[in-house]
Amino acid sequence: MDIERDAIAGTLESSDVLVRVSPHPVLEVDLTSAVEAQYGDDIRQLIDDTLRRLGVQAGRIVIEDRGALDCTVRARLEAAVARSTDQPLDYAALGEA
Amino acid sequence: MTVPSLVQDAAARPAGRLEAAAGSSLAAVAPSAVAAPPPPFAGWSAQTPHLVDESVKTGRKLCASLEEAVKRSGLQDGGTISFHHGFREGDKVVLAVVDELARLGYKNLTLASSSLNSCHGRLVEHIRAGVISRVYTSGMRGRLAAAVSRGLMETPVTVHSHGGRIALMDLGELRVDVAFLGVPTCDLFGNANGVSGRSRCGSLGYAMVDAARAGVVVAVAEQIVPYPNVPASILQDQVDLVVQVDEIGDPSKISVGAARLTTNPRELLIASYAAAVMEHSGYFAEGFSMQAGTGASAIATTRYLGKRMAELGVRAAWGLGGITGDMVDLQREGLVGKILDTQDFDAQAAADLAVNPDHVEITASQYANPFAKGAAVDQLDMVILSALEIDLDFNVNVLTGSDGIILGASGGHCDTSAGAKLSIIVTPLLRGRIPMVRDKLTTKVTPGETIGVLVTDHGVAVNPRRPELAERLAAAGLPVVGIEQLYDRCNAIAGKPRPLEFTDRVVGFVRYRDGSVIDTVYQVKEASR
Amino acid sequence: MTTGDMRAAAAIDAFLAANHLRRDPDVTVFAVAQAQGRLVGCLGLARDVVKCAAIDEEHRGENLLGRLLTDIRYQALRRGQAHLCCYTKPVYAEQFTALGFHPIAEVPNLAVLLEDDPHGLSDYTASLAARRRPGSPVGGVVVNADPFTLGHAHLIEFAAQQCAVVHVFVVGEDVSHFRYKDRLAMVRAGVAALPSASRIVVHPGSRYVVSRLTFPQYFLKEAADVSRAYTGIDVQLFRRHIAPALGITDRFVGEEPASAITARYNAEMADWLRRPDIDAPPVAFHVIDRLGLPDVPFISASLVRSRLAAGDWAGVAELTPPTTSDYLRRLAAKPAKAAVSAELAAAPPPLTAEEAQDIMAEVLAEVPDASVSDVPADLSDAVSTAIVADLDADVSGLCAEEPPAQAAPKPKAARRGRGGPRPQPPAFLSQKPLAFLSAQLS
Repeated sequence: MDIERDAIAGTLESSDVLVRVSPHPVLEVDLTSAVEAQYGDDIRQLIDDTLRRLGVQAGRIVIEDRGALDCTVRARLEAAVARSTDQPLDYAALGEA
Repeated sequence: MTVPSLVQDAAARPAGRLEAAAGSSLAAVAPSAVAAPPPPFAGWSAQTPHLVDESVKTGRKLCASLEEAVKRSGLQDGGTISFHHGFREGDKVVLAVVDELARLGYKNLTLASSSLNSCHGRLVEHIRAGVISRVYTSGMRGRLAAAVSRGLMETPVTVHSHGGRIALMDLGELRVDVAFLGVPTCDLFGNANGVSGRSRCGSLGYAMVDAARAGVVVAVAEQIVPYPNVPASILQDQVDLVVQVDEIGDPSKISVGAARLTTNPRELLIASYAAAVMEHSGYFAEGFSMQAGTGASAIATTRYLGKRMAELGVRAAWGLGGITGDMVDLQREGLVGKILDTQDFDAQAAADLAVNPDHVEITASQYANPFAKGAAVDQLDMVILSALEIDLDFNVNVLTGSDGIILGASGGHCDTSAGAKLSIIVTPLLRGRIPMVRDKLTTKVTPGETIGVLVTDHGVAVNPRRPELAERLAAAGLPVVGIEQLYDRCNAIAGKPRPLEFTDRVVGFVRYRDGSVIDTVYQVKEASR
Repeated sequence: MTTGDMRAAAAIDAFLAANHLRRDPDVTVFAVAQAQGRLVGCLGLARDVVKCAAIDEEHRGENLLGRLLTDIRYQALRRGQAHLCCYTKPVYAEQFTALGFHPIAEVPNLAVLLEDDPHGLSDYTASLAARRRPGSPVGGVVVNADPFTLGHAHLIEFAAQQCAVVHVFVVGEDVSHFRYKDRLAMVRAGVAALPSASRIVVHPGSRYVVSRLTFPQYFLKEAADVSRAYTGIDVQLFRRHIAPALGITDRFVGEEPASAITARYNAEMADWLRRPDIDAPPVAFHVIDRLGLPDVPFISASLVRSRLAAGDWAGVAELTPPTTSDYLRRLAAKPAKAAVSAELAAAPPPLTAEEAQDIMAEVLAEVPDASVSDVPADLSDAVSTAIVADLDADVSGLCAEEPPAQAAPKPKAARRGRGGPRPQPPAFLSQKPLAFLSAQLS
C-alpha cells in the first residue's frame, strides 16, 4: 500500500498510541514510547512487521506510545495507513500470523 | 524517655541544661549519676540563672533568626539533623533550614527527615556541594530521587519504614543532634500543635518522635501565639529553641481537598473485590479494626466497605492511619468508634482532629515502632495497602518504579503488614503496559510472609500460607486464582518486559523495620539508545 | 459570529482569564473539557499553531491536555494541517514534549516554540541548503511586503550590491491585508526587475520565519515581553538553523524612524545575532536608511495601502515599482473576490473577565440541571470534551505594523444584544457531562 496523504489514528490517552503517517520517498519510523526501556524493542519489531504485512514501503510514520498493548499498536497503525489512502486493506494478508 | 537518649553526649547540648528527661529528678535517674553529695543552698537562682532576668526567663528560647537558632543549637559539621514530613508536598522547612546551613558553611551533615518529597528537589544541589553527605528517609520522589538513583551520593541512602526509623533511633544508629520541627503554631516556650494556624497539617505524629529523642529540639514556627498553646503535641519540656519563619509550608499542597471517589471502572472493580475480601476474611465482625491507604482504589474500598458495614450493622471499634476524610465520614456515620491518627492526608481529617475527642493523635512510635512497649499496628485486624510490584512469593516493592528509579516510600507498609492480622494489597494487574506481578522484584521492601492477599482487576490471589482464607474467599464467590496465574496473565497481555539493567554501585540500603537490611538499591544503568 | 458562538467565546475568555491568559483573536477552534457543566480545560488552534492551553487546577495530572490535544490534532488535520507547532511558557514545555512536541527555540523564562513533526525543522533546512549558492558574503532579508514597495526594492537591491548572493524570505501568514500568495508574487516580480536580480533568491514563507503579526501573546503580559519573546524565537531560528543552511553572514533590515516598537525589535535582533552564548556563528546586522521622496519622508506599505484605498493610483505608482502597480491593478480588476479587505469580519474583541462572567452566569441560568438518575450519584464528575469550532477569526487588530494593542472594550449594551429572542446556549454547555461515562459503560 502507498501512503498518499496525511492521516492520524489513535489518541494520547494512557495505554493508547497516536499514529501519524505522511507521504515520504523512503520509509522512516519515529517511535517515542512511555515504556521504551521495557518494551521499546518489541514495539519497533511489531511496527516493522505490521508495515511489512501492509505492504508499506515508503512514508513517514510518527508514533507516540503511551503504554499501549500490541493489539492496540497494530490496530492504530493499520487504521492510520488505511486512512492515508483510498486503496482497500488486504485483510487476508493482515490476518496471517 | 528510653535509655539510650540518657547517655547522649552532653556536649551536644547548650550549657545550662541540667535535666536529662522530662520531669525526672537527678536522684531518680540513677544514684550513681550523682557523683558527690548534694551542695548546700547557694541562693534561689544559683542553679537556674536564666530565671533572674524577666525577659530571659520567659523568652529565653526565642531566636531572632534561623541563623541564631542554628548557632545556639551547637550543631557541628558531620552532625545529624531531622525533620518531619507532616507537610508532604507543601513542605518548606527542610529547604529553608538546609539553605541556611549551607550559607553558614556546614558540611557532611546527615539528613534524617521522616520522609522526602518532590518539593525537596533542590537538595540535589546541597548534596553536590557537600552540605549533606548522608540521608535517612522513608522515601523520596522527583528530581532528588532520580538523581540518587543515578548515583548522586557517595554514601548510599538508608530507606526505612515509619516504625523502622524509630527502631534505628532506639538501636543507637540514628542519633539526631538537632531536630528542626516545623509547626504551624507555637508559643514562646515551644508548646506546639498541628491543628491550628494557617499551615495546619493535623497530626504531628512523626514530629513528636523527634521531639522526644533529639539532642536539641528547635520548633520552627509559622506563628508564635500566646502562652500556653495547649493542647500541645510537642511540649515545652521537650523544646530547646523556638524560631519564627514566614512560611513552613504551602497550605494548598499540605492538605489537599478530600480525594474524590474515582470514576475509573477498573479501580472501582478492584475496590469492590477488596471490600468483599475484607467482608469475608473472617475478621469482619463487630468491633474489628482497619487501616486504609490513600490510593484511589483504597479510598473506594473504604467507601464500599462502609456501605456493607451499614447494611450488615457491623461497626469497627477503631481505625488507624494515615487518616483521610473517608475514615472521618465513617466515624460520623457511627461505623467507626475511635480513630488513631499518626498523619492527616486532607483538610477534612486535620480539621476533625482538632475538635473530635474520639479522633486521637498518636506518635509514630505508638503507631508502628517494632520495639515499642506497644504499637497500634500490633492490634490491627486488616490493612489495605498498595504495591508497585509483587513477586510469586508475595514479596512487595513500594519503592522503585518500573524504570528502576526511586519514586515511592517504604512508609508504614512493612509495619502494618507485620502487625495486622490480614494485609491486603490492592493494585491493577497492569499499570499502562507495565505488569505488577514479577518473577523478580526490582526492590524488596515488605516480605511476602506478612502479606495475606493480592487483589487485582483480574483476580484475587491468596498467600498459600493461608489456605483457609483462600477457601473462604472462593466460597464467597470471589475470583480466587493462584499468583502464578496472574503472573502468566500479565505476560500474555503485555508481553515480557526487558529486564532492567543496573550497575554494581549501591545507591541505597532498604532496612526492614527491625533494622536489618532486606534489600539493596543499585544505580540504574542509562540506556545507550 | 453567532450569539451562541459569542457565548462560547465568553465562557472560554472567562476561563482563560482565570488562568491569567488571554484568548489570541486568531484562534478559530477550541477543544474544551467540561465537568459538571463548567469549563475545566481548553486548548486553541489558529491555523497550524496550538495555543491558549489552560487546565483547571483540580484536574491537573489527569492527562486532560492529552485528550484536548488529540481532539485538536484531528481538527487540524481536517483543516489541512498535519503538522502543528506550539508557543507557550517554558514551564509547560515538558508537558507538550510528553505529548509529542519537540522544542526548537526558546527564550529562557519567557517563551518556547515547539513543533510536533520530528523532521520539520531539519526538512526545512535541508530544502534551504539545496538552494545554497557559492560566494561570500551572503545576505538575508525578511520582508512582509504588504505590498512590495520601492522601499523594499531599495533594501533588497542595496543588500544585493553588498553581497555575493542575497536570500529574501517572505513572511508566510495570510493575516496581512494582501494574501500571502499575492505578496509572494509581487516580491518575485519586483525582485526579477532589480538590477542585481541574478544574485537574489526568493524563499517562500514557512513557520520557521516567524510573523510578528501573528506571534502569540496570550501568555505574555507586557508589550516589552512580547517583543523580546518574538525577536528571541524568530532570530534564534534564523541564526541557528536558517543562516547556517544558506551560509548567511549578514542580515539587512530597514530603519524604522517612526516606530519605537520596531526600533526596539531591531535593537533586540542585533543582540541575538551577535550574542556569544548561541551555538552558531554570529550574523552581521545592518540597518539601512529608508528610502524617501521629496514629499514623502519614507516610503511605507501602509502609505501605499491608504493611497490605494483612496483610489489614488498615481500616488500608488509613486511609491511602488511598476511590477507592483501592475499587479495591484490586475487584482483590483477582479470582480468577485476583493484582494484588499478593508473591513474584516466584525467579531468582538476579547471580553474582560467581569463581562465574561456576567454572560456566563446568564447562560448557566438557562441550562437545565443534568439529570444523573441513571448513574450513581458519586460518579458525576467525569470530564467530557467537545469542540467549539468556527469562531470567526478576528484579525482586524493584526493588520497594523504595530503589535496589536488590547482593543478598548465596546460598551456593554452593544454587546449583549438584548431585546431579541433568547438564544440557545452553545452546544457544549448543554451536553450532559455523563455522556462520556454512559458511552463507556454501554
